[in-house]
Amino acid sequence: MSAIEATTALPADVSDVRLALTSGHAVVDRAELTVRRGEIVGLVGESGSGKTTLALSMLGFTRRGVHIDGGSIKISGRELTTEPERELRRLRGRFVSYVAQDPGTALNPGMRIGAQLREILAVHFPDRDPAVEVPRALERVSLPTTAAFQRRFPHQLSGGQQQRVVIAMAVIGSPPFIVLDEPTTGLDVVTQARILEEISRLRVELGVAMLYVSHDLAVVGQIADRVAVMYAGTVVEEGPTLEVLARPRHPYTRALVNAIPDHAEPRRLVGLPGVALGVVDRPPGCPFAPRCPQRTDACGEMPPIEQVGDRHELRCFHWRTTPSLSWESPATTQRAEREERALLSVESLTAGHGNGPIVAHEVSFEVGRGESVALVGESGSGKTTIARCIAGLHPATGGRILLDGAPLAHGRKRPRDARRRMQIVFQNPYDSLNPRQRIGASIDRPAVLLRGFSAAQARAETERILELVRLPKRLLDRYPRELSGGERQRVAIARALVAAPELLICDEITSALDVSVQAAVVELLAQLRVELGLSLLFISHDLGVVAAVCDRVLVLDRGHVCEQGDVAKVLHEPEAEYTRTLLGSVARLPQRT
Amino acid sequence: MSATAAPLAMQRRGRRRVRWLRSPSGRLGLLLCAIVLLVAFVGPLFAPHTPTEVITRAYAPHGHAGLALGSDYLGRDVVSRVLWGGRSLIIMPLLATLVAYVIGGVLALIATVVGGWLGELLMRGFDVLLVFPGLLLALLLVTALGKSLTTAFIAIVLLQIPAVARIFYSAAIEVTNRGYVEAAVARGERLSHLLTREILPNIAGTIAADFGPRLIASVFLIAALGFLGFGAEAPDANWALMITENRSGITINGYAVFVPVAAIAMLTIGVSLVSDAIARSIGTADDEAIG
Repeated sequence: MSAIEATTALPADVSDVRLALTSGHAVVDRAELTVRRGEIVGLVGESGSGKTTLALSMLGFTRRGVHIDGGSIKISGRELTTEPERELRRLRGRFVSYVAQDPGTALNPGMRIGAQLREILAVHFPDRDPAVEVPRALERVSLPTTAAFQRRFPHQLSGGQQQRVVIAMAVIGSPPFIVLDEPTTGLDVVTQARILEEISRLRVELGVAMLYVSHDLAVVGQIADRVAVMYAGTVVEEGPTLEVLARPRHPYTRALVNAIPDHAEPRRLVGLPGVALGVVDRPPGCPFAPRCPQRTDACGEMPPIEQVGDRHELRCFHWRTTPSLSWESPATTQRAEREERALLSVESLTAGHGNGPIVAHEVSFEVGRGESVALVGESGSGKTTIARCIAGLHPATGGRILLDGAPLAHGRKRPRDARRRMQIVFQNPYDSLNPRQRIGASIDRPAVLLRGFSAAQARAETERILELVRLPKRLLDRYPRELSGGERQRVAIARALVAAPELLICDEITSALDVSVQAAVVELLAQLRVELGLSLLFISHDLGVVAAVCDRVLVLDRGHVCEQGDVAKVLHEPEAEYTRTLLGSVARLPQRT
Repeated sequence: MSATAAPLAMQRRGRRRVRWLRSPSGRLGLLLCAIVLLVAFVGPLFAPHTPTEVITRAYAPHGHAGLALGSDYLGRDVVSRVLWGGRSLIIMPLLATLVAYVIGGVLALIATVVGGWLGELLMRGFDVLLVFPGLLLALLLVTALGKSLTTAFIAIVLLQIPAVARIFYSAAIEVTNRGYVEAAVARGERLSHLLTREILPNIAGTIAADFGPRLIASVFLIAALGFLGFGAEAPDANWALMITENRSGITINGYAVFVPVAAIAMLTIGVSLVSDAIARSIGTADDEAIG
């Protein structure tokens, strides 16, 4: 192929691709995707949608157990599906490169970063001078170009710097196309905002095309020109970002956008009914049909691609009837008149890790009856440690924690009733349930231990609570591994509720969940507050979720409370400098017009 | 991928326990173990002679005087001695390993959950014991306490405790940071509940996979002690003892040495194949659970 042809060909052109497991089931089916020169295309979808599998196939790579089972993947005009592995290796780095999700594992921990950059040149461009190219690549991603910096090891860099190095490695060969797989997911919001700026700038400077894979529609909305939405292995809608996000035509895209929280315009989050199906259980026709409010008998067949606008296409028979987006305000709870005595008071709480750094400095706040208070901050702000101190899992080095006016000791020394009145729900639903206990047994236990119920009474209470958290009774005999993440988190909430608590401590309970599942859990919490009069202490880094759930908010900066007040006031008229930076960094959906 | 994993896990739940049997190496291991165990426990019923009875001249070749594998250094029937000589070599290490598991496991779990200086003291103490070469320590004990099977038994138990405690400790430490254990701590569960309900069931797989190598180490130790003359006493039939007794006649009637060697080797290989297969099947089951 001549040089001229290579430059006129599309950087990436995927058509009718099928990626299948060895069992024959398709992980990705009939996928279509094109990326033009200098364009950023966002590929969004929830876990299990096949977005990473599709993205990796554009490097000619498939994970073990998956193979390319048809279709065409062209990178700068070269057909990857027929190239031998040797040739693919030559193409990667020259015509396409990859930025992985976790820079901590993408970089070789035993190699200096300069050496890692030079290695790419040595493999792909032995004729180029590393003394020129390496500093230039570092400069492109706003890193120091000094020899001293190049001699550093990955562990001597921050997470943001590590990710910049990975991006520098991706651009050093000036490939026309880069695949970025959730490049900011592990980073805090402020760093994320800077990396996103960097990526946008590189696109302009180098004219490079990018595929930006993410589960976060708001981030994609900020950076991408066009967005492709995947569901159950199929690209269901693709079009210009503003058009797709402001007026989604596919029912799934609409549901997804409706589930995204926003701190500036708090809204009632609406979860999707049902659960995403596994690869082997997908229906033959439209994959979204089982959960779709617009489904008809016609949906038993896969809808063809339809043009609905300029470079805006989708797979749906009924897109014309998809309603426009509509937001509802969050369910406002009648806040009880502030009583004399708060339910929980924290007075100058100080805590650290052993003899190590102090992570919470003299933190004081109160949670009133029926009130929902948020602790907000980036990772390392001390918010989780504070929650663990209150739950009795971490010893405080100073200050007091009072429940209903009575000071609380640490951990086991607390009276049974104090342990019952406060319950904690953890971040990760995949390890908060004992894998060797049936769901029923897990939920029964707190009722027996903390309320003195007999086994039969406890089971009756468990069944009542299951209904409250909207889980079917048949789950009682299941094991945690048979449940989805959203179901497990509901079980964890049920296990807390069965103790009849007055205060529920929620430690990042939605951060491990997909947005549609997060929306459903947030909806559930709002309903529980109304039905049970629960008080919430809600720990989160996500300001949008906080705006949907909480009345008051405390902003933590490296262990200090830098601002506190009503959610609406803090999020709209922040006073502290730190709060302003935090708010300015949060990715939001493009504004509706 | 959680939604993907759930139905798969449901389908496989029933078959999970015997999954390791599906691997060819697991089946081979089970076959080897079965042969050795049959010989050791059912074999004595079919022994043509009393194992201690002197029948013919020393190191008679196979076929001589109707002895299929010839005779040993005292002219006793090698076949009968092989059939009788497995029991003590299997039962003792097995019992010793089990006792070490109970003591070492309980101490390690206490060290994990209680933590603090007590946990440190226990585990650092075990580390010191682990530094000594096992056989050396065993010989020291046997010399100090007098040579008998009981002493050899005690030596094995004491030697295995630190190693067992290490495995329990590292498996349990990982589990104690899990959300479900923290939830149990936060609601004020007793120590016994934490250990038996929350921790032990979740480390059982790891522990089971380690049992094979532990058992083999015990068999080797007892065999080595036997070979050095500190375990079983003549005229008992014992594979380890047979190797040492007959080694001078190895060129005249090799069966007297090679058959017991082969029996110990088969047991060792069989047990490690089985425990490897079990360990692998636990690994894949966990992968599915994580999804």
